[in-house]
Amino acid sequence: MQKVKQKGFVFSFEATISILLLLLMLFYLPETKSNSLKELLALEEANDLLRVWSITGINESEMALDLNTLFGTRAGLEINERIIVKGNAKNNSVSTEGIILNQELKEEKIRITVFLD
Amino acid sequence: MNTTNKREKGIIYSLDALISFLIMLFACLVFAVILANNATQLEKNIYFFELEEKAMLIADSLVKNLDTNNSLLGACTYNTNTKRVESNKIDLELLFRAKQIDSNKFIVKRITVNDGKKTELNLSSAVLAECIAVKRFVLADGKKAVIEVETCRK
Repeated sequence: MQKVKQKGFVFSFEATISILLLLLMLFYLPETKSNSLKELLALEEANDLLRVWSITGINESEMALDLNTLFGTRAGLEINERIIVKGNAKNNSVSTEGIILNQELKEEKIRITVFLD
Repeated sequence: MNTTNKREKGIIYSLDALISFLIMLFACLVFAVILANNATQLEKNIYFFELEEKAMLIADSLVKNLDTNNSLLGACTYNTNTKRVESNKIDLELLFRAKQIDSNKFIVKRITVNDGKKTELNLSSAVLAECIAVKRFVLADGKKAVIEVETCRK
């Protein structure tokens, strides 16, 4: 009975070590990070909109149309924290914010959120 | 009796060691295969990243700078009063005088201006497989427009 116990202990101890090592190796496998500039591009495009709107002035319906032209439904627009365009939210997103003076020289805080895949 | 015991123990140890060794070998194999896959994936990513980077740089230069020699690298208007180049304000006449960039790796295939009606400037007729189009929002001759710059790998 004692012999069996000893055998079992020896076997399980070594097996446990090797299984643990195997699990450790599998757990810490390196992951490939996808190097893409799509976030930067989305920010550049959103900043283009802010730049153009700062020249043409603020008009909510036109702004929504411009946003739709450039991003389709994958972007949201807020003016003074009021949602103008909601957009199809996804897990990843980037946001850019700008302050534009309107015709009465009042500050309008504009935020564009672009949803990435 | 003692000899038998030792032999039994020995067999158990060897079997155990063999199993451990096989598991470790398998783990090493899995690790090596995954590393190889990652390396291939990384290589592809870098290859694509380079093209993406160039496409973005060219498009960004086009909408932020003014280059009278080659408007592909800058077609913005110049405000003589403020003595400043006005970014995102495009001079279409200047833009359509754009010439091909001098690069042995990349070419700009086409520039498309969409301000309600599409206008295209084809800079190359070559049929290339790897291309990226970058869109930028601008004021082209005072009208809101989307400029699309299509860059390809040679």
